[in-house]
Amino acid sequence: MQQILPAGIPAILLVLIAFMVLFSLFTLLSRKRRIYKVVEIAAVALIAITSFSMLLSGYNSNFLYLFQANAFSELLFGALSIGIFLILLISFDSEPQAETAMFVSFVMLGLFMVAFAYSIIAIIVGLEFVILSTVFMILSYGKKYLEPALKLFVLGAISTAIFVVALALLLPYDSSLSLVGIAAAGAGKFIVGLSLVLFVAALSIESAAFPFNLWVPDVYDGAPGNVTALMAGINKKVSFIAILEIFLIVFASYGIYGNSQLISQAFFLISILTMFFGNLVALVQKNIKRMFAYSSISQAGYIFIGISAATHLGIEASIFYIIAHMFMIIGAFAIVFWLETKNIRSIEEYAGLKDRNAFAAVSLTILMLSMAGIPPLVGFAGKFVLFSSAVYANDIILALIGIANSFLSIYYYAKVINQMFQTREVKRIRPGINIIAAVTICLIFVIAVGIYPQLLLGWASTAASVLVH
Amino acid sequence: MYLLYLLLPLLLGALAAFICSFSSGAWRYSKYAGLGGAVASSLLTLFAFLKQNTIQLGQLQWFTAFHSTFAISLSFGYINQVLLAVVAVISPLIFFYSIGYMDVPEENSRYYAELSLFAASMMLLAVSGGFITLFIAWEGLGITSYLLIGFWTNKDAPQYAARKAITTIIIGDMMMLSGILVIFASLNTFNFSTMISEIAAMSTVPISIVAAFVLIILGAFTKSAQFPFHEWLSDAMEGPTPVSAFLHSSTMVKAGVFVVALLLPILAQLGLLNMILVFGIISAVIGALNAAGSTHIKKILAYSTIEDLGLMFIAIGLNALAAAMVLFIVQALYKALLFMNAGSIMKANDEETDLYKVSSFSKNRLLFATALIGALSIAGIFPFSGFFGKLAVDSAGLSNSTVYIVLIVLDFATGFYIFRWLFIPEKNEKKDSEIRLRAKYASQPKSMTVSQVILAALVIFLTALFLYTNIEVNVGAAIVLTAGAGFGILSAYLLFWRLAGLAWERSRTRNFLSKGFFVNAAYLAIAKGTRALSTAIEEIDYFINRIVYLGAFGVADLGNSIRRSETGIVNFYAAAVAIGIFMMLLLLVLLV
Amino acid sequence: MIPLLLMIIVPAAFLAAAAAFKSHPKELSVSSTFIGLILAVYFFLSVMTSGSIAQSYNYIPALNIGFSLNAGSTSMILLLMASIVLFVTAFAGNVNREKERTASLLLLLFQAGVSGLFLSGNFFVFFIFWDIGIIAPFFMINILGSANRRIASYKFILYEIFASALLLAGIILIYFYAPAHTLNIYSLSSLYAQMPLYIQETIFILFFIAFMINIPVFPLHTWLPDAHSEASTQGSMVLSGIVTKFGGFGMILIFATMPVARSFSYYIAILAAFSAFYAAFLTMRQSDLKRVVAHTTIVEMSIVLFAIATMTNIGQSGAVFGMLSHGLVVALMFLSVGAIEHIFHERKIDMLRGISKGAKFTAYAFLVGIFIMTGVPLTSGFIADVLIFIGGASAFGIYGIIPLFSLIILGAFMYLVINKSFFANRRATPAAATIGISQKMGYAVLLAAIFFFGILPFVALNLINSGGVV
Repeated sequence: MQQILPAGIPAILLVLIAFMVLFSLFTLLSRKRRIYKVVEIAAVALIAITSFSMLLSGYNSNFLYLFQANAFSELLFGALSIGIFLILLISFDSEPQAETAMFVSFVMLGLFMVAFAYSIIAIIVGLEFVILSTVFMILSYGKKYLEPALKLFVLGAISTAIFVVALALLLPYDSSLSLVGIAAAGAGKFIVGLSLVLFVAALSIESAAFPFNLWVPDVYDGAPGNVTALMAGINKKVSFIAILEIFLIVFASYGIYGNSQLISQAFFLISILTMFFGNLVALVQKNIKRMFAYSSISQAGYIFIGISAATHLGIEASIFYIIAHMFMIIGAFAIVFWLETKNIRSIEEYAGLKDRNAFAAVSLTILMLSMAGIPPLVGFAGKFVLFSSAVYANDIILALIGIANSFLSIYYYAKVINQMFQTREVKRIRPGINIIAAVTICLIFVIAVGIYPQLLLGWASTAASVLVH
Repeated sequence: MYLLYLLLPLLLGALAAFICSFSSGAWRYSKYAGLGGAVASSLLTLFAFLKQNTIQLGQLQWFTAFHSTFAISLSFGYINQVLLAVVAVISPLIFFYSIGYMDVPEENSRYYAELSLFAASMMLLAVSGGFITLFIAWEGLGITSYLLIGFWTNKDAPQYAARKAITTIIIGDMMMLSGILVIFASLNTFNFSTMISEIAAMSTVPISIVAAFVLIILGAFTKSAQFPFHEWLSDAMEGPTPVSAFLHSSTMVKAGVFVVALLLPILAQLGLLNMILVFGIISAVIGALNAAGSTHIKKILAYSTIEDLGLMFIAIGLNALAAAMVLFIVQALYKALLFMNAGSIMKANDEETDLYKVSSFSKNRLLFATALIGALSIAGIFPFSGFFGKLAVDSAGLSNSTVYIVLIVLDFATGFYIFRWLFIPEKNEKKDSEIRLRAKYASQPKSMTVSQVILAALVIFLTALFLYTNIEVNVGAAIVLTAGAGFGILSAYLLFWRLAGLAWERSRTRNFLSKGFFVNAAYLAIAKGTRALSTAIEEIDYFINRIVYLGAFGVADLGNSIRRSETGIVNFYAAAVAIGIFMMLLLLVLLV
Repeated sequence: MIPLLLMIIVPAAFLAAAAAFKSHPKELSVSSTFIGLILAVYFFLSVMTSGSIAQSYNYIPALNIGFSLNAGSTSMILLLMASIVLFVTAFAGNVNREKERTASLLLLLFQAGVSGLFLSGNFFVFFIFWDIGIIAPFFMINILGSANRRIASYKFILYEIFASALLLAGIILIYFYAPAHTLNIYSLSSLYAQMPLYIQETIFILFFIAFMINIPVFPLHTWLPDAHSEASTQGSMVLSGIVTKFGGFGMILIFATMPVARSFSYYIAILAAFSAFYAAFLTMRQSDLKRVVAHTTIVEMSIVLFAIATMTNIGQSGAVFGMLSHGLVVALMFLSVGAIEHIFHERKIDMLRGISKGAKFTAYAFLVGIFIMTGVPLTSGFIADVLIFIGGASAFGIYGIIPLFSLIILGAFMYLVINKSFFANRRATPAAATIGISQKMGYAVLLAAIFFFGILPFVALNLINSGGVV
């Protein structure tokens, strides 16, 4: 593709992010924090736009020895930047404002590093950025959030440790640490396998795959709503990006990842277990945030279907679903977060939500239906592509189990919907314009892409062809 | 296609009456709409008879489904003509009678609309030449009959009666329809004449066709109130009296006889006549005995109708179509007349129906005279036309001695119960209200009187007609008939005129007879059985629901047990990570 | 040629408009359904004159899935029926004008779903619109329904999503095994033979159970009485009138295209016949007028399934006609039950007396509905019964007419209700309200359609005669 953008564009991105980080440091000192926040949101929007313009122009380059820009990184970075934009929007009014802004910009930096990684170092540093800033972000909300922050910190540390061990196993074969370099190095099969298992474990902790995900509900439930949105919408997706990069670039060439190979089977099992675990436990939840936590676990299971298929279509489907789920879960948590600030937390208390606020009830319904895979919403399109990828990869069982899980999920979503549309004598409440804006963006995405999935699928396909040839 | 035009005035009349119901003052015109339609239709029928050679009988193609063609076929054969003539003669008289009888302004439009629709269905039935046409008319009869029986909505009994009638009707309709469809599925035709020739050409008839015709016969029995489907007819007397006179004695109940008569060649070939004969005999006996037991002024006539219809089926069962048709015609006239008489009495007695509570016929001489003509005719006394009907059937019965003995007993019974009907009111003492009643009899609407007189005249006039035609008459049978009927009348005279009938009325026999041979009890038992079955099925349904719930709860329980993994302890989560890694390593070792 | 897509775009556009503007929701839904009706008539006529229409758009090229629409005979007949019912539902269904905006939005969503479903040319499109057509009635129960709506809607959605999961599984299997991963419903008929037999059987069973839940047939019917009786009047009308036809349409598709259906048809016919009797007996135990009508749906639809299982052309065309008839008549009956509830604030049969006194038109509309249900000639019900049981008799001989007798039980009970609650005026329940002209127009439109197809059945049948059932 022809490059129409100047060559230094990734540098511009980096500068923008750096500006954001610096700027957010200033907000700590200033009193007029709102205006800084507006500037920061605008910066994120600019970053997203830059990223998409890179994607549109087909920009490809390596820079700073650590990073490379290609369709995959540009698409996912752009899309997740929109997610960060949404999170900044929904936490616009939440205290402490300065810390939120600052740590979100660190997450942004981590996201950049992982998405544009050329070296494994970039990935590990990026992941650290993401986890640690999330931990501190939770902590900044007050003492009562100590427990979830600590849990996240401990599990994040374990994850990093395993990651480093996995990396160390490969290090003797290639000290350049670049993804492509490691891929080319000829390590023994068993060593590679061991390293691979450890990578899977390390990243599964972050991406909430069974059995590495038991911490997820506690942390999601314990953290403030907007941070939960960040964790479910961004952190998890960042680790999926890492998974895609590491397994497809590094391990594909070792011949143990690919159609019906060992790691495919591992992901196959992980996918099934994760889906069932998430859905079955979500059934019996009484707290809405816990329910969404488990639901997002099961959604992660769907993403693994595509990774397990390991074909171009499978990766395309996974990328599609990563982005789709980001929008769905951020939209849902935006509403949950807003209601949390009004002290409405359990599913019981959601009764009569339509009388409190019809917009919230209807949007949450649409988002949940989308997650349950009801057409013509994006969740269905994503799931169908995922199942098809399983079909094309001759994995009919996975597709059928995925369908069974879709059915299970309607079980608990319908329960919440049922509650929301009861008639209750309640006081009307109105969300702020920022929440409405964020949710509306999510809804537009969910409906528009749901009706015409090709909007996103085309890009996902381009991005996938970077990883799978 | 001319024959379809016969329906047109009636349909227009129904439409006009229906439109009248929308405006509050227009109800008084609805009777003229009804009467006008009926008269016009009868005139058109007369014209059809005059011009019968020029009538075009084609098939009007209705629709096709793949290779099956559904056509409206008409026919103007001998049997069709008989029914058409009966309907055309009686329907204007009924409409005319109704003008006097129905004095409920707000309901008038509905009444005339429904009655006109009924008459139209009857006309269509009479000209039908195929099963599709026949069934359209058949259902039309069923529905209008249902609506007319339940016409009085301010009382509960008519609603109960209507329910009973429609239940029987729907059973009959479904049997009829299923028979028709089975026949169509194998012969691919609805047309009677094609069907007759096709079946005649068969050497062996498939069992399914035989079964289909059995179903059709049973369907015919429901409409013609034959055992075991006869009890609806006596309850149907809850309808307005003109309706009883029209539907439930002279025309609609003949539909079954008509169908069986049309299919007679086939039924004879299939050997189903004996079945008809047996059911005819049972019905006739039950009808006659019930009539002797009842004290309801209209129900006696209704049971008598069952007997008459049974006689017609007996004649058909003996393959004596002509005899059946003669009775078919005369019965329509005298039974309509008798019902009109009963209606007059009831109207004068404030709708009282108990034979022991109404006042006598003889308070109005004309009424008594017409009733006497009707009674003598039904009993089968010579100068009246009923004699010829009975005689024709009796003569046919000579071929089978058992049947003939039954017929003689029936002759006796008929004379007995009809004169019981006539005599009992004569003995009722109603001194106080004598004068008021007399005034009421005298002020009976002219239209009612006129219709009765015309019908009585027709009953006599038909005799003249029969005297000039050469129907086969067995003189011996005639003598036996007259003797039997005379003996019946004589016993009625002795019992109810001389002895005021108390012995009979209090006897156990009458008590037994008035119970209707427990047919109603059997109906109730069936209804109860059905209800028990439905209760059982409801239980099953409840059980199925439980199973579904159990499944749903089972999934939730599974979720609950997995939920125990949420311990909230970080060490546990770290341990889970370790276990996960261990398991994957195990997998690695096993697979690589 | 106007694109078929318009049938979906029109309600979608109106849905967007109704979501955007707060005023005049009813007018929007009425005009949308009216335009839909006109379009349906137009497409009906053009299919009649020039054969079936197939149009396809690119949708997901990566998966070789197009957005293909197909207007065949069955689909056009059912679409026309659905359009009539929707139109009447829109202008007459909401008697007491409660929650009008929500009702209109859901109706518009449902209209889009229905149009898409009946016009779908491949199973992917079929599935998408299937689910839209399930979700909208779910909310019609859940938001607009009566007292027990929560449990009813929950049951409904679980059953239906279970059905749609089976459907999706079947679709995925087809997708997996079909040559070139095609999902086109109509071209698949020649491709099934290339799949292994056990796969064909599995696909058939999955589809069959999915459609069986939707139709519904014993033993998977228990969602229906609750759902239909707890929904709003509009909800009941579309649920019984249209949603149950989804399954019927699907059944026709699989029976007519899958060669393996023939080996199951005998057992399915027995099941359907049993189900008809079972439901007829169950109807007898009902005390709520709306539940009574709901149960009749099971009876009628079981008979439709029986007709499909005869595997004869005439029986299957009877099934199509039966669905056409039943859709119209059950809408009429639910409309009148809704009016009765509105007028007397009561639905219990034992509590209602003399409906014909307080609500003349409604009572007679209901009565005529029963006539049609029991197959009185000159109504569409008769044509359906005749065709179905000719098919039954030619497939199974004299035994093929047995299901017809379930109508005796049904009819006898329905007339009992009529005489008990409608025409026994002696102690008539006092009327607390009246119905407007739109209600009466609703009866008139539905009755006109019923008699139109009853007297001129060839309008619909010629479509099937020339094009077959699919």
